[in-house]
Amino acid sequence: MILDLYVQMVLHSAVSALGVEALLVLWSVREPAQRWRYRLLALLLPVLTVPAFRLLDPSWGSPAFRAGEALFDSRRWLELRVGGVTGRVAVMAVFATSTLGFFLQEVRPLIRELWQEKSPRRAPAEFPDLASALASWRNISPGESPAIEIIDAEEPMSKCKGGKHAAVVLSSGLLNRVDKKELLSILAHEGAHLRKRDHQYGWALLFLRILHAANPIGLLVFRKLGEENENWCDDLSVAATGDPLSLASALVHVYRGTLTNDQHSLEWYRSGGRALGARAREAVIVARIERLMKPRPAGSSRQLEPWRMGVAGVSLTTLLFRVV
Amino acid sequence: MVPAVVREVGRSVVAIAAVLGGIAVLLSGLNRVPVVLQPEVSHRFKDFSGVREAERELKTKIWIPAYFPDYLSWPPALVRVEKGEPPVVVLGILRNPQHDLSLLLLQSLGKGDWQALSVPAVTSVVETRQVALKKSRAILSRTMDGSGQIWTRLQWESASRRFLLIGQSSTEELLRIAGSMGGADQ
Repeated sequence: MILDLYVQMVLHSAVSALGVEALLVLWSVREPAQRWRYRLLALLLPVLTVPAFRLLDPSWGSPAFRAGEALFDSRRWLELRVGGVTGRVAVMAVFATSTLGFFLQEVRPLIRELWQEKSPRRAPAEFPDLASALASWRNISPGESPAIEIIDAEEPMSKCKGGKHAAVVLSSGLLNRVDKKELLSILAHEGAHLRKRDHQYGWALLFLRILHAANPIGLLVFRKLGEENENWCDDLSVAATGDPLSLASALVHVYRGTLTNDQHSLEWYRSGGRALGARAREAVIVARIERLMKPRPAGSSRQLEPWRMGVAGVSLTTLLFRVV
Repeated sequence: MVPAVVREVGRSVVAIAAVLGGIAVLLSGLNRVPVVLQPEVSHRFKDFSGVREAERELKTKIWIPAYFPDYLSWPPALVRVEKGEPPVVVLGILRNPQHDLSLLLLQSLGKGDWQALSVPAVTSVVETRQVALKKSRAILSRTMDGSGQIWTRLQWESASRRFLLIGQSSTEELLRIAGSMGGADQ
């Protein structure tokens, strides 16, 4: 029963992700905000359809349904035996590996961050460029003046802090590396996260991520969702500053700073996982920089997007009903 | 002149039809792969270790007779679900002490037409007649299989299921077994 539910969720994730990715290409959806919403759909459908189908149609998943109505019956693959290994065993191995990956990649860093001693704070007055960049930011985004926190850390880093005291958190390592224009682009990017209330939605996304904990396809879609969100805030930053070059250059500083720290660590050489992580991070940063530098082709009509999103949701749900 | 929005809607519909069609074809192909790789594995039925296990999978009650002659061995040696529409549950019961198959009880979980796989082939029908079974009618027939053995078949239906009892017991015993079948709509 649990194995069936797991397989159905992974299958529905795969079908939803495949459908959404194909539609993004065919419908020329290029705006990150729209792409983000489509990818969220690919994450939501599997967690909603499997329990909904089971509740609404008790015969869903029964042998008769599998034999008669199903387009794809996962049990055929589960019962298949190749080289002495059944599909059931292979699925259990995927489940165990994905769960382990979830703990190592998502839970462990969260626990470490919670338990880690807090870095000492530095006063904004110590960084003259910051005051100048903040003044420029207030000029281009009147009414926005979130709190700024500066942590004393060599690693270049910028992020948003949620909760009652929402703030943009910058590291001293970052402030020492970037110039005024780059800093303004970073502030505009983080300001976009705050304006979108990402720090609040983050908890809902974390819950969704937990539901997809052992789902390797869900993990991939989550990665793409995160990348799209960064692209979205990059666009909002460039729309505010009109300066894609400075944001791209700031990204290069952030990436180089992280890489230099890693390369000095023996752990970086020992750990294949971290090396892979660094390569993946590099690929994401390079893609963001390339995107900022390239001219944007015209995307699809915004007017049709809600309608298309609805059609995609209903059509994929109808298809998923036949996948069991 | 077709407005741009209409053209875009048309293109969108064609694109989603192509995507859904492509995924459906891919899934149908993948669904065939296990059968191609392992043709000896039948995907038309599934055997279970017991009645409860089959009920759990089917998410429904399997009706079993309250009356069993002493010479029949319970629990069933065969609990099989044929994955048709409607699905058919087959219970194979052995005779004590020889452990030969003595009784097959088939029930369809629905009223559609069904052709069960797990039924002994009939070479000739010796006799067919209608008999009274509780408040309804049943069809009783005596048939001969390839090895010359006589099997008595009793077919009847309730409001939601169809039944076939095939056994080597006497007609009276089969009617008594059939009459003791439980179920919500009997």
